[in-house]
Amino acid sequence: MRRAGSRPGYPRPLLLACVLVALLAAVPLFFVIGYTISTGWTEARRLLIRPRVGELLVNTTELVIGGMAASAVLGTAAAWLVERTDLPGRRVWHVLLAAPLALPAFVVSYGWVSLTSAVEGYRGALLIVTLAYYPLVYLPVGATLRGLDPALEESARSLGLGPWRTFARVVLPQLRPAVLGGSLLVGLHLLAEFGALQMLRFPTFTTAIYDQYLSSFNSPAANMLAVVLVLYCGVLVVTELGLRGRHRYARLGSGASRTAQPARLGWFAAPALAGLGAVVVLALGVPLVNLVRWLVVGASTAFPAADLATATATAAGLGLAGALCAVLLALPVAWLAVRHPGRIGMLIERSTFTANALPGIVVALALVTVSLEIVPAVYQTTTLLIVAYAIMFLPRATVAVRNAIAQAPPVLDDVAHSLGIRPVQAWRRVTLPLIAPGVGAGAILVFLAVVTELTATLLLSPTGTETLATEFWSNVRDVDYGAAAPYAGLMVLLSAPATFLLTRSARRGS
Amino acid sequence: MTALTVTGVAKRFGTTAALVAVDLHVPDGSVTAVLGPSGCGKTTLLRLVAGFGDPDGGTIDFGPERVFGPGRSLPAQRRRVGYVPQEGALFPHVDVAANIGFGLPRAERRSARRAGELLELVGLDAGLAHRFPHQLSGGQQQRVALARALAPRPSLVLLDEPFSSLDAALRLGTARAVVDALRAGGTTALLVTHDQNEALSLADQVAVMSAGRIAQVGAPQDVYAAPANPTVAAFVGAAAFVPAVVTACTAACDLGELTVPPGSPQGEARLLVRPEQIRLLPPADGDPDHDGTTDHDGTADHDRTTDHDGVGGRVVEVRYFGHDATVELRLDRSGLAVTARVSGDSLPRPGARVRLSVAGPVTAFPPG
Repeated sequence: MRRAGSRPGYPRPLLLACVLVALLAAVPLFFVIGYTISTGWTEARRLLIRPRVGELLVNTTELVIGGMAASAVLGTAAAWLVERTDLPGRRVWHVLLAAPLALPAFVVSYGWVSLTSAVEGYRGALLIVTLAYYPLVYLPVGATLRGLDPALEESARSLGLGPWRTFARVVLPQLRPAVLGGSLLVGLHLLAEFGALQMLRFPTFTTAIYDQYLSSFNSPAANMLAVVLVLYCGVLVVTELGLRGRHRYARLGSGASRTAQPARLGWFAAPALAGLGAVVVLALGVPLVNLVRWLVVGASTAFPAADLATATATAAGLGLAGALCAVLLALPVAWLAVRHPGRIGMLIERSTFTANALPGIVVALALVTVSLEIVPAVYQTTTLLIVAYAIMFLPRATVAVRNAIAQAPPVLDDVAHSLGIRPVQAWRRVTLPLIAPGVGAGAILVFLAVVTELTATLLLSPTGTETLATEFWSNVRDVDYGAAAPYAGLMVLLSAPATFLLTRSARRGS
Repeated sequence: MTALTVTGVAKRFGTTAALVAVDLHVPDGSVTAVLGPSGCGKTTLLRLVAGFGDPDGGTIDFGPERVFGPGRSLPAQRRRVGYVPQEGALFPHVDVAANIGFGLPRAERRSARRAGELLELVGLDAGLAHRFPHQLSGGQQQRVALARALAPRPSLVLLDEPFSSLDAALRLGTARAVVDALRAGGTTALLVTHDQNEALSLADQVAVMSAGRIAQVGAPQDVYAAPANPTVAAFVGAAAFVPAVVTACTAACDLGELTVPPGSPQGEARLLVRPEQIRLLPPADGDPDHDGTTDHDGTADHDRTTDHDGVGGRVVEVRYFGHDATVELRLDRSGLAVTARVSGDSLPRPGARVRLSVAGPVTAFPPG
């Protein structure tokens, strides 16, 4: 039987728009592939087989593996304590443990490095990136634990398994996709991380690309490192897919009526509380207290209200433009994916997600090169910066818009038409009111991501364009922590609501 | 209020033919049910009538007006049909009153009168007007969906399995209220359903569809009692097919000599016997087996096959439903299995011997 949703054939203009969006989103990837081919093997070898590259490879690998492992352990343990035990104050802990996501990693790093230089180097970098990124594991694992049908565990218990064996053989396998997926996100963030690591003087591919770019812009060395970085991201994604395997996991019913019986911690409650307390103090307390301290110090010397206002206005303007662009690009893709489900729609939707695995520095570098070669007029313009934001945050916008469009099933259009309402009116009176909240939420997410974006902004913002992120960075570079504080504070204030939205959607999308 | 005429409508999706030359006439003011198993094309037919897609060929007329034909396809919003989809599909972002008023001109939308009238027509309390769809039960949502469809006074209302998502307790009451509201307005209605009880009890006319064709159109009684072919017969109700030899108006079979209507196929045939046509006879005097308390062999049954006393059989299984029961029987003569529908007050036990007869004429089909 033909259902309302599946209409044969794709409308040509929609398909064309989608293909254009997919092509734009793939520009960084085209750049990487094209650059690799045009460089050739000998030149690539000359650029890559150097002690410096070896050092970067070791550093990056150490950090990625260490950070992913530490985040996986910390995130899973914290999620289990909060969701499945009788720990006192579990709701408060949940908010506190998710909150570090609201602090951009470079702000956490700033909070620590402005306190003590002891955090420089590998150990410090590992500590700080783990504190900044473990919520990426904590949130999905917590959501999975919450959605897990307790009947599975009860069945295991009734089959004679003890609590530990039940956890190992029933719960843990169910958590695997969440742990792996969260760890992959951590890994990709670590590969893309620039600000936090630069402050900690821990060079990785991303920071090295930035330094190369500054010393001789559009340099083959920077581009070649970017190629390696993208390969690294690819390896990570493929490994995760391989580890996830072909197992089928029971679909988690959203409306599980019962919650599992919480495990009794007993005497173990005290060390658990102490451990979680330490995590919150290190991840949230230290950076925030230090930020406030520097705010006071900075305000007592000089408080550049005018500069602050200008930077905020510029950042907000860029954020608005980036959000608008990303949402406009996401609309046709999401519409195709929801209203015309099929292989083409899925392929196009997937292709816009590649930006998720591409570090901002690669996107920026690609746009610099491509614009200089093809449209030099846009180089060093705000337009190029906004295009970079749109590409980088297209995945977020697509997810939000897709969910929004799914709220307006096509049967409602049919009903409106049968009531004598013309298509344009039906769109205005039915579709628009239904999708507007979700699309708006997507736009807000992109806006806030743009406002706290550092890497691409540093590379692409036209000379003289100062945003919160660039002003913060130039002050940090001059080791003027007091002057950097108000910019950091504003970015934290701005990104807190986005985190709330993300946390909520992670909870619902379990 | 207008008749609907569908002539030679065909529709393919890729390589699958959803509809093969469908002809259907829905008289003015009648309720017609299109009954068929899922995948038979009934929803496709309804969507084409509504204008949500174009047939590959054929014509569709609303009364004298051609809405689809060669070189003409009236868009859905100008066909003035009311459409009640599965699960209601109320607009989730507006309240009940605004849902009902959705298709009305702006001036009429403001006055609460029409919404109130329609709520009353579909048997709902006017106090629901300012509830939102998610605050209504499934049955209430379905009734509001009908009120919304009726509000612009459509000439024709199309209902796409509107009750299938409701649970059994709600289904009967909601269906009754919906059809009463349709009849009160004299609205022509086309109801698509896969539920035989729904189609037979609600509609003036039943069109049975199978594999993209209309297999039979007729009054519910005719479709049930005189189905056009064995497929229709089996789809509209439980049926046993008994091999027989027909001579004039008499059919000889394992159930005895039965009456068939004039004009039935002669010679070898299959007889359609409905469970409610099979009667369990009251116990003859001295028949010890009837209540199943003694386990005799059938030696006492000296005359098993006379029509007056029915034919002999053994009870295999009894299914009790409260209001009635079905008894599965195996005939002594040939081992043929038949099912009888009997009232639930005096039931034989499994294993008991019974005698049975067939009431009323039966339908004969050519052999297999």
